[in-house]
Amino acid sequence: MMQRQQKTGALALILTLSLVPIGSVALAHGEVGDHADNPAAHMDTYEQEIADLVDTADSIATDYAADETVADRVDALVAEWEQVEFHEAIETRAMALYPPIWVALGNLRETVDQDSADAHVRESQQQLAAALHEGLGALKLVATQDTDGTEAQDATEQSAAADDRPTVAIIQDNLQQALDQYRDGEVEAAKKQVYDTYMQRFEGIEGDLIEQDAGLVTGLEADFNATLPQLMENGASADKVGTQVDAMNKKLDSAQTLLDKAEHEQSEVF
Amino acid sequence: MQRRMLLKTAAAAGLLGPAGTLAAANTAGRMAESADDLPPLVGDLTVYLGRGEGGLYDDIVDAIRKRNPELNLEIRRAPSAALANTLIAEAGAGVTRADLFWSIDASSLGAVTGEGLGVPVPESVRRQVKPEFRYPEWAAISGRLRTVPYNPTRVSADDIPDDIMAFADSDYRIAWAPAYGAFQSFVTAMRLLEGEQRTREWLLGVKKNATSYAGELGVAVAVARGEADLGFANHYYTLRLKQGQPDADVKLALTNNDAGCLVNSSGVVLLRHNELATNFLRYLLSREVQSYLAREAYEIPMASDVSVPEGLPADIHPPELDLTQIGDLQPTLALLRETRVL
Repeated sequence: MMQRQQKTGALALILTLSLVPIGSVALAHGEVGDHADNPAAHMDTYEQEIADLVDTADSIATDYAADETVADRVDALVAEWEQVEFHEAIETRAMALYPPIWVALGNLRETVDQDSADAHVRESQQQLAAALHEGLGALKLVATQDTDGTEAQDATEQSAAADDRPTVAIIQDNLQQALDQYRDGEVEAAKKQVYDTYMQRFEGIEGDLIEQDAGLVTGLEADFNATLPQLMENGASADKVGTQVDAMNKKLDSAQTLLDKAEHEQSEVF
Repeated sequence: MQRRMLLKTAAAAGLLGPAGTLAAANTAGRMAESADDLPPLVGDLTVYLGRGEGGLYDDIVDAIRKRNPELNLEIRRAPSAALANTLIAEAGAGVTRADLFWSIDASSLGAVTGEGLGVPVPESVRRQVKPEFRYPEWAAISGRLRTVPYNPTRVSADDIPDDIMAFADSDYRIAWAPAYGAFQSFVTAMRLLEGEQRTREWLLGVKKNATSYAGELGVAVAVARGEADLGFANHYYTLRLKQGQPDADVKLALTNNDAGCLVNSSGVVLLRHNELATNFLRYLLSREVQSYLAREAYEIPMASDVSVPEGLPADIHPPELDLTQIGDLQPTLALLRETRVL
């Protein structure tokens, strides 16, 4: 029990530090399946998979209480979890809710292996069911966002989702989204979008830009961190916020030109 | 006493930052290998990669792939803390899916090794790393240094304190970026090394003469423009600025054995006894990759005899510190808010 508490503590610490769950291109077990790009079309599959996993875990807890040997079935449950499409979807689209599922599976295995009290095994099973359902909820949110036409991203946090477009184009799209949110009265969401875009996108390109035009970078830093959020904070008109976004887009166009130049000049690794 | 205990514990875990002097081009230990002398990488390898400097880590991965066509390399990219979290969770469930964890910050590496998930770095590889950065459970790849950028037309280098705490009592006009992550890690290091009360006093003292900027590039630029006499920033902002504007009025000074010259390191944890993973790590420590990181990202190479980026001071005396603790930002943020620095 002590060991488990320590592990949970470490996880809690890292979760606290984890601002952005994931933007993955490929998974440990292979390329992302097409279904993860369109979770809405596969929601029935995910729901069935979760129902099966939950039923299996429930029967394990029930049979454990009836003094049956269930350790092999826990292993099979873990293997099943690794195979289902839901696993891949949650790993790529809602990563913050992915580790808790592993934690719950680990707890179930540990309680079984250690001949823990029936109630502890049941508690682990319920923890697993809750984690799976929470993950499903996150995927449903992702599906809603996809349907709305918003940028595909991790539902659980601000995400630097996998995206092959040039970073500057993504930044400009995100700024437009922030402006749209502001027009709709979603001020906090708009400010968060601006902050996330700066942290997850702009910081990734500023290194190359500094050598090309440090003034442009410092100007954009001020735009992202002060000018634009302050306009939103102070309740400026949507037109005024839009004018600021236009000004930033022009700077970003210049940035793209400079990045193209920097890429051309970059040396080879080997 | 508390600090001594922390250091003792951290030393036992092999997680301390460097002690003593970090030479600019340390030739002690084994020479960096050339990629030409490394065995070809063949087979399946899964790497968890905590996000790094721009796209440069991707460029390195692509170059390794291109050089090793028989390597089936699967990369999972995400913020380093999230990947550490995932590794710990997977291990808790009895699963190891990655062969190697490559992360930009030591705190996430420490979180993983702290859970006992790493396997020892082979001695032959460990000896390729600068002696001050050799750890039993992870291999340092490249580093970032806290510095004091200053304007030489306004400040004499000889007058700049070599004690970071002394800036609180100075009359210098100071540029800083309190909202910036690297600055917050620096204050976290100060909190761990000097204690909360002294850090509080330092923040309040510096605040009297400080101007805040959105990022640390802004700090370097402000110093170069003469808006401030000096500032606090990671080293590469000044080097990049000087690369683009060689005549910019900004130089780098270092403090001595305190948070003001902290070196934070990227690195690799080997997660399995796997020759392929070890050889991949050897590529990252090869002369070519290390030089690339120094040349293109201005990172401090950790291979023993690869030169630091041009423009970096020759001798660096970073403090001993448990690097894994630097990620504990919450008490730091509370302190920054309490002092109204944020």
